[in-house]
Amino acid sequence: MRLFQRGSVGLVAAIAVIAAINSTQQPSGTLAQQSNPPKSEITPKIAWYGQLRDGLAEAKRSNRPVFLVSAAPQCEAVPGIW
Amino acid sequence: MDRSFLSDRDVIQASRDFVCIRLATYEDPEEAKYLEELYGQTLANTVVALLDSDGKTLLSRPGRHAMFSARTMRQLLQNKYHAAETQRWQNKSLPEMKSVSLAINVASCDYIPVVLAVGKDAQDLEALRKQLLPIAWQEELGGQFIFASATEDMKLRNIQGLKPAAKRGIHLLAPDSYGLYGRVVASLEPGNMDPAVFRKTILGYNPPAKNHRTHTSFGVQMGFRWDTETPVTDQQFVRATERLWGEKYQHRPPKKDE
Repeated sequence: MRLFQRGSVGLVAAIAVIAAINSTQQPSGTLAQQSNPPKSEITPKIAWYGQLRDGLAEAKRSNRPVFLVSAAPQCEAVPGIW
Repeated sequence: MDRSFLSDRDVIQASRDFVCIRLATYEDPEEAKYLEELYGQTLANTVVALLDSDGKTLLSRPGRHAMFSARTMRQLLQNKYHAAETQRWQNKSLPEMKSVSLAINVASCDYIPVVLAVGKDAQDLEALRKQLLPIAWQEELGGQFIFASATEDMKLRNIQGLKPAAKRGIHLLAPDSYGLYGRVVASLEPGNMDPAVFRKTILGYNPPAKNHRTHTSFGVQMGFRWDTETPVTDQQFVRATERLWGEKYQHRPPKKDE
């Protein structure tokens, strides 16, 4: 019984690792072939300029204040997460 | 920082009349210098501030977290920027990332796709940007994708499914969960960009959520390491990185997009 449990745990772990590897090799989401989401379902997001030069030029041009954030696109040197 | 602040609907609504700039910390020496001067001390991983349109005058105390609320933002607009309302969504340039690699990583962090323009040369790219501009700043598409550009001669090794014969154009990419690769899921012909297709593809993107601990521990096991352009100076972060990777932190310059 103990042997079976160990085997099961090992099998589950192996499946989890394989699944995780696959998830890193494939894009993490699907696009296309989906119906156009209705406006009410769209989660609004902040529209960011990604470079200082571009954002400041736009602020100067339009005389608008700047909402500035700087964040590292990696967590403890692992990418894909803030 | 508390990410919920940036997804708060009141903050998002108030942000519409600001020019919102989100820099990638440690990814550009000039930006790092600017941030350090603004922050007034060694650069931390996260900096948040409100500034005047000159980009220099602080309108809030800069910090690791927002030292202001959506209400402060609205009051500031009412009292100081009466004309701002009319400028909403009339930005004259695309929100472009510095490189394709960085765009894919940031898009993965944000759970959104990448829009990549590939042109023959700089002039051709400018024409593609002009075609995209009116679509990109539609209210419902604002912030829903990351934009990057490249020229045809670039190898773009971190992009899957880009056909050499049809490289030129606008490509919509789905990033992998670690932001290391992007897969082409749709391509739009230059001169024939259907806003409906663009909207449908962008807004239809729905990647699975990531668990912070699982993501980082598996990332270390797989050796998925992100090398920053400038050295990381946030000591709290350096210590955490050393603990996670089991080695002393040393800055290694990243490979450039080719």
